[in-house]
Amino acid sequence: MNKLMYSRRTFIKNVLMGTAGMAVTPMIIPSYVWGAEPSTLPNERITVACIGVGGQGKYDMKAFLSLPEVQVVAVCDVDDNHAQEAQKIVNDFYAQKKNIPEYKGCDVYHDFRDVIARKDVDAVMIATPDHWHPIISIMSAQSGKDIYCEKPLANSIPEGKAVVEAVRKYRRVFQTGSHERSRDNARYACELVRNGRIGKLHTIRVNMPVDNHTPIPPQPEMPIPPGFDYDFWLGPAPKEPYTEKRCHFWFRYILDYSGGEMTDRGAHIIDLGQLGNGTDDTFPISVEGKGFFPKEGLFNTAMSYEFRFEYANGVELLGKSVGPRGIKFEGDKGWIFIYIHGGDLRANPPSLLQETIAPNEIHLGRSKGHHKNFIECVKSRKDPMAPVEVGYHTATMCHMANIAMRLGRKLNWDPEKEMFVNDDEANRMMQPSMRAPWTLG
Amino acid sequence: MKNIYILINIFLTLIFLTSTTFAQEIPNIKDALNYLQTYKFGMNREPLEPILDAVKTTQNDPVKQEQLSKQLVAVLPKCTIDGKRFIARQLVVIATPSVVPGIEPLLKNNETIDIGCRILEQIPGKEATQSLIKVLKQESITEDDEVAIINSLGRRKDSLSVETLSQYLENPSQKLQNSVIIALGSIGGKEAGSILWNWAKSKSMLENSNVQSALLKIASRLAEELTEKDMALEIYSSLFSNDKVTPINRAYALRGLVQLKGKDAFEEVWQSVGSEDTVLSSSGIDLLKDKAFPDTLLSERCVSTLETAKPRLQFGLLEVIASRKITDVVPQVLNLIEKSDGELKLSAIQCLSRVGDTRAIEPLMNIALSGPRDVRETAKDALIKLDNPDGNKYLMDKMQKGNLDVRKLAVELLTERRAVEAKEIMKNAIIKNDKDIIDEALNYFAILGDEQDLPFLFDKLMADIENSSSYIPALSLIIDRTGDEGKKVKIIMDQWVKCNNDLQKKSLISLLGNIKSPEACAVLERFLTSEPALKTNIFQSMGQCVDVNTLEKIINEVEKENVDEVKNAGILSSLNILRTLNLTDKQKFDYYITLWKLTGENPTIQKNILGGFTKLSLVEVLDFIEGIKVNDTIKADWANVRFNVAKNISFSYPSRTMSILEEMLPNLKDNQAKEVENLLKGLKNKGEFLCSWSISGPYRMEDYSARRLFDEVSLPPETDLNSVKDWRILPLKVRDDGLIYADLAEYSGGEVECVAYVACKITVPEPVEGKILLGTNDGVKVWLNGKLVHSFAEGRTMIPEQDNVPVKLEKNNILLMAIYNQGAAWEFTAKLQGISPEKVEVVPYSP
Repeated sequence: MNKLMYSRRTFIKNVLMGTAGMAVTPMIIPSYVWGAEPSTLPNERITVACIGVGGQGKYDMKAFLSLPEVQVVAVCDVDDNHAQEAQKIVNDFYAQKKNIPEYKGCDVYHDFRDVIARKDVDAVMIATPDHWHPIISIMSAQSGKDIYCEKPLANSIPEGKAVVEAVRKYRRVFQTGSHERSRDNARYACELVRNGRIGKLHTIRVNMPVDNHTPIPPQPEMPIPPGFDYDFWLGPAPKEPYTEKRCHFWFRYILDYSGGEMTDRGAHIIDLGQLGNGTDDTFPISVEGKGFFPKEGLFNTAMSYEFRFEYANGVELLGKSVGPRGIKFEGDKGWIFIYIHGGDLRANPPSLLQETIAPNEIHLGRSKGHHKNFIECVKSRKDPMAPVEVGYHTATMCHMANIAMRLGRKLNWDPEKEMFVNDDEANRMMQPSMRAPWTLG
Repeated sequence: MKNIYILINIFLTLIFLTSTTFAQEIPNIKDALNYLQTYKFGMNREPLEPILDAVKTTQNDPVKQEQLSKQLVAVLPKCTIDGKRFIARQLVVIATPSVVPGIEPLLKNNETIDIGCRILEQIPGKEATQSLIKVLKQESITEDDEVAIINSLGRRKDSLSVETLSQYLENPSQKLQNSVIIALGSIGGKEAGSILWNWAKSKSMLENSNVQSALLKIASRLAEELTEKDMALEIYSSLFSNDKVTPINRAYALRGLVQLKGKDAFEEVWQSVGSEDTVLSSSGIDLLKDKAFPDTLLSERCVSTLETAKPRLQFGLLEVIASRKITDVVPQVLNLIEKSDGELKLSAIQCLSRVGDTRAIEPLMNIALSGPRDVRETAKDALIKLDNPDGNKYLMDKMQKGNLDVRKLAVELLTERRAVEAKEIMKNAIIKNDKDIIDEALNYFAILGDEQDLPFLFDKLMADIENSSSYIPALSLIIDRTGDEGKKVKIIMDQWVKCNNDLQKKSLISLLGNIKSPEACAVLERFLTSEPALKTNIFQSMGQCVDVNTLEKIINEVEKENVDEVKNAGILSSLNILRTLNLTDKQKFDYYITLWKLTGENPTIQKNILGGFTKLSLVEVLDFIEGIKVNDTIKADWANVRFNVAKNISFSYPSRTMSILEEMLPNLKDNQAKEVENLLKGLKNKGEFLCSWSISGPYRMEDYSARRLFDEVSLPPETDLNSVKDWRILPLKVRDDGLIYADLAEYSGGEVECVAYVACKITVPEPVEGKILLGTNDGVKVWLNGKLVHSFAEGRTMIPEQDNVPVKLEKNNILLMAIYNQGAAWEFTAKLQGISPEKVEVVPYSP
């Protein structure tokens, strides 16, 4: 049933009635005349299960908890400590909200397959390490769940493609967790670029410093902590002895599980490059890059790098691992810089940031928050701010850059066939490996 | 001659074999290959660089690539497991079919099978497939290894393996069976499709979700091949019509049918719309909305079935009718509205709105005027949103010609539809004092009026001043939209000169109050002197100005005032300002005291002031209220203040507040009683808990998440503690298990993506080393005497003593903490260990 809009008439009438016969009282117009949010009835709540509730997973989970139209009904993690901690957060939150001593409505799972088998789960949030994203996404789609999955979409290009296929074939709503895309400032900046406020866009510069995560020495094998199912955590990745710095936060610096900073924050920053360049639905046509890969130690993703993408429309995207984290769009009449994270803007000329986008110009829409946008789209069945294709194109660019750096030569890419041109090695390098019994369904 | 040719061939073959067997090795990789025999992941990788370089340089040189591959494969048996993995990553890129025999042994060892599979998956040609099949068929192979190889064959997508794989369909092991089903689905094609399809049918396996997924994948690809559509069609039809297939897969199959059959799939789609399953029915609805099915086909079916179909189907059809705007069905929808109840009735009403046919307007207006409330509101909403621009003309006509209820409704609808073309007739209605609809017409101007409309509205206000309350909302809202604050004041003051009685002036004073700006306040202040007879109204309007100067001005005037009614108006206005003004607790307290003294014995005013005291965390409040005279009228409010303030400051002033809490306890119930019981237990048994805190904040910054605040921002409490003035005593709570903690979420009213600073002063007899034991949700930073001693950035749940912070205490110390909130719960608990609690004095921080 459509929600009824509040009528200003209703409120003004109330004000009039409230002051009838009291002409001496000032007519105070309550602020709620200008809009109020309808409450959410229980039967309209979207039930969400959270798979992977470590650091980022808990952040995402809390974001969903804060939405009144969502009920978090389950958490799942192969680390029992994470799972129980997350369960407590959820139960405490609802207890407080309902003003009751105890709430026990959030279930805990170890195996994501049990979660997606539940008929009462509408959507899943996936914040596992990258190498798990495709399998869980595809199986969730096959089970009829809508999906919010952290970026990057997948740890390899073919896996990403398989996710796109599954999401579209099963008509699921999919939001990639590239939340910078939902920031008002970022969208405004991209609108300025798309509407020619900086003139003709010619260069996009991406700064992706690698924080304090430097190469580390070889790590000893350690006993697996109690409650942590390490083999399940490895999943399709090769079997390796357990050491603390292989798992949880640190996975992102090991190629078997992730693509380093390139696919971590690169997936945010390059993603905005695609949005500003108007190329969300395609790829660049070439890539080249140089990277420093640690010469020893556990971490083997690039710790410093430079790369260059070339687009069919002539725009270049240049990346490096230094500078304030963010993205700069350069045109022949000015530039705009978006800080990541936070979305603070700088421009030359500064007056660009006072510009208004006219009704007949390109508008990129606005979001009330990346998680809220996902839930709204679950209801409306429309594509959210970062649908699966957007996530796939961005992640593919990140993987292309990594491959180019490892091969040390320029690679040409066919955007239609979605493969490297005349380069079997590069094409073979982009294929995933999967340890049995895991495979893409 | 023939023999010579044979000899030459033999000679050439020998040369070829020699060249490949004894080919010159890729230079400089010998040492690297040796290194792999002892290599463990994590060790120095520089010695392996020559191999990586060799891979790069052999690009586009198949001969050299083959040489390199053979060299790598040759050392495989001698390498460590990590060495093998390294080689595998290179062979994935360059290996040729000739090295397949050298890879095969890896498949026969459980430790290396995944390495072997990974390489063979990437080698083109039948040799790799054959090798995998060969190992798969060995008797000694374990089930897990079989699964690994089957998965690899699936990923190779080589139809050569289909026959072998098909044999596993009959395997009793479910694990193997599932693997093979998935593999056949990945391979796809007619052969795999036929085998899987025939087997699934014969064994009644269509209810297996893996089988469904695999078949759908196969069908999807076959459908794209022009010659293989029949099998795809058969698969889609069977899966769709089998109600044991999962709804999501039936929906997939249905879409496949539409893709292949087009409008000939109408009956299947029609069937799904009425399904009990929402996934299937919503898929059907989506497909019917699609232009694949012509309007005529749809409208004919809807006309004949809408009124008599099952409710589930009726709902779906209404959605399709609305989406496709099938106007032929409007009479049937109207009949449905008449005959139905509940959600169906409401959906039908909404459907008409979206179809936008003007034939629906009159019936909907009738519905909007009678019947249950939800139906009336839905009809009204439908008329507001009716997707037809001629709707406004129709309503304007009704506004002038209908009966009283119809006219009122028409005006309301024109307002909600934002019908600017109706402005003239609305204006006429007001000018002519059309009593039936004048209120509604004024409301129209409140929403849609602009500066051009002000003159006539002001004229009406002045002429009809007895009914000023009707005009003021419209005038206020229009003025609010007109521009800068100075202009708004000018608009009103331009009317002031036309006033010739006090009622008119009072109305203008109300309008000034609604502006709420410093400019408007300045004018009102001047009126205090020039219009003493209107002081009550002036005070009431000044009460909208949230400004300390205005507050002071009002209080000064009240102090000079003798007339109670005027005085009380001033006091109430002052209280209004204090409620929203951002002052410290002490400042507010001082103002409340001043107002209390001006109050006299007026109980209404006294209750209001007591309400203000409740929110303060000051021991001075207790001192004050325990000294005042309390009568029965204000007793309950007085007790409420005493209790709440005592709760807020209990840990900072335990001796002062415990008796109050104990006194109140018998009067409390349920959760409140439990809360106070726990509080008293905590007060009596604080132990090592740090319980006396002041709080500043919360602080938020636009576009800054809590994490970003943590990483990038230093706020005043960190940079200049003495400059911060908004310190308040922080109330604490006590859990059932005795944990003493601060619930910042409750304190802040649910702020998120923010940070609050808490601080206390700790005094000990002598410098001493100790530990601060912390639990926080979420991140935290800790400074002791200005030095950062601890930080933790991540979101987490609060667990007692989760952080152990060693500290060196001086005799006098300031402990400052920043507690960050990423969302949901926000709380902290802290203990000091290493010194006996009796020797430690802790007080809330103040500058």
